Amino acid sequence: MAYLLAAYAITAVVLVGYALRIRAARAALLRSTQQRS
Amino acid sequence: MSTVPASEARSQPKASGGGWRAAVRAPGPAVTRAVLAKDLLLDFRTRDRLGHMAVFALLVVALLSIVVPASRTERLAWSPALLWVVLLFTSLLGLARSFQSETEGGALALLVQAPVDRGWVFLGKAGANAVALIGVELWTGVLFSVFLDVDWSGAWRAALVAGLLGALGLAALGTLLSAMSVAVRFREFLLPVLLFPLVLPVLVLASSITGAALAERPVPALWWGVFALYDWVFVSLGYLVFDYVLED
Amino acid sequence: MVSALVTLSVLLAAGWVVWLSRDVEARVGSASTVGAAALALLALWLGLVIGYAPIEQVQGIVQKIFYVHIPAIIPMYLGFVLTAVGGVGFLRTRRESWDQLAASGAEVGVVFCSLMLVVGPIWAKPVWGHWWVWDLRLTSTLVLWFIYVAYLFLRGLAFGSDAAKTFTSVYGILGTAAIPFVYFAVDLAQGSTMHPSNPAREGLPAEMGRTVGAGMIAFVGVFAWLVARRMELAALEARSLEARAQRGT
Repeated sequence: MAYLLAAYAITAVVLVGYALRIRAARAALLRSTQQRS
Repeated sequence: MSTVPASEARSQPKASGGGWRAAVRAPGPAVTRAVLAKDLLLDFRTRDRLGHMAVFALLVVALLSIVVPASRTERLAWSPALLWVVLLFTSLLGLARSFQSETEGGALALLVQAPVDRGWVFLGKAGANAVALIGVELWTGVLFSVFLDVDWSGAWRAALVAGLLGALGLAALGTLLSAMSVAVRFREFLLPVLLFPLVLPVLVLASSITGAALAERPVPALWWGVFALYDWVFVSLGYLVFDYVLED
Repeated sequence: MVSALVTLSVLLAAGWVVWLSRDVEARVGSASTVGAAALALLALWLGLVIGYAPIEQVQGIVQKIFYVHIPAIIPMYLGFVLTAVGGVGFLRTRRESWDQLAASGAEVGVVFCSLMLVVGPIWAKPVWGHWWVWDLRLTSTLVLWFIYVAYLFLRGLAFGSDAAKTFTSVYGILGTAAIPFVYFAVDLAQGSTMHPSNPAREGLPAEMGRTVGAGMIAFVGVFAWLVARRMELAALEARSLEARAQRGT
């Protein structure tokens, strides 16, 4: 049962984490281009 | 074609400059022959690359013979795989230097400007590498029979053909990847990292065929077919793609 | 029926992603629709896993890892396909958007590939007693992972040089071309396999088939959405670099 939950939890964490990383990078990029202009 | 490259070529060491002047003016297959001839000549005259590969193979096989369990059945079971792993690492040595003469002699620029379909150059280079690899394979085969008691008498024909196909596959991918890693940092790391996963089928096919031959079992035609297909795919891809690789 | 739906969703997703890559910044609005659809599909899938899929007799409830492990296979392959398509596109047209497609496909693909390599052992341990088994599927996934990683290393180390995009395009094509041979080789090397025999061949009970199918479609949606976001990021980065170069900073 623990294995089952671990498998699903890890999947969720990895995919959500990756999505958040993209979002954070995008936000940082937009902020820095705004600062320059 | 301006005269400048030609004059640069004249001031370069003959090994790289002379061959290229001939190659640059010739049509397709003649380019391949010229490149092949030049590289083979270089290999056999200087004996650098071949010598280093031979010594390296000797060292590794000797090491293995000391370390590997002495039981004959175990050695027989592992020999095909070990043989090809040794060949893989030895080939790295040679492949990394595929373009050494061109980069040192400055002929790389000449090469890039050549008004020929550069795929022919690839065929020549890969051909030269394949020949060098076959030489190393023969040498390693001898080493294995001397150090590890491998008896090639029944298996040498199949092993030889497998060796040919393997050399072709290794040379095709190795030459292509070597050309790409010439311009990149950490190439001693990058070349094996790029090469090994792609070349796994060569290892498996060659060692399976060799193993079956040594154990006097028949080699399925399917194995030969897939091996030949693999070589054809990557030689063709190399030929098609080399143009782009050399542009940069 | 299920496999037809899965195939359709794969083709739609791939088509959408490639269409999107032709003009990312203008077309990225459609990503929110895809994202919402993916979310809905995920909810459906989870519901099916919890309430609808039966508890398997031999393995018990742990068998339900099947529904999160198998769906990850398609995105893993799609990543390679996009990398190869992007590679060919870039070599022929030299337009950066193709390279961005390739890079995004590789990055998201390696995420799903790594996920498979982690979830696989989590399933293997309770069922077979070992964390790692050298069977056909796990081994080939590992080699595929090495190819992905090699591609990403090449991208990272060559970055900045003119040749970088050409080289990675070439390697993407080579890597994808090697996949069928890798499968053949691993199968040959293994002899016999320890992996659960492909249930699709021996006939999966309908409930399991539908649940895993839902998972596949959901994951394909997630994959497509992630690639879209990654491509948008790449396009933004490219534009910001360009702007910086023009300003001379």
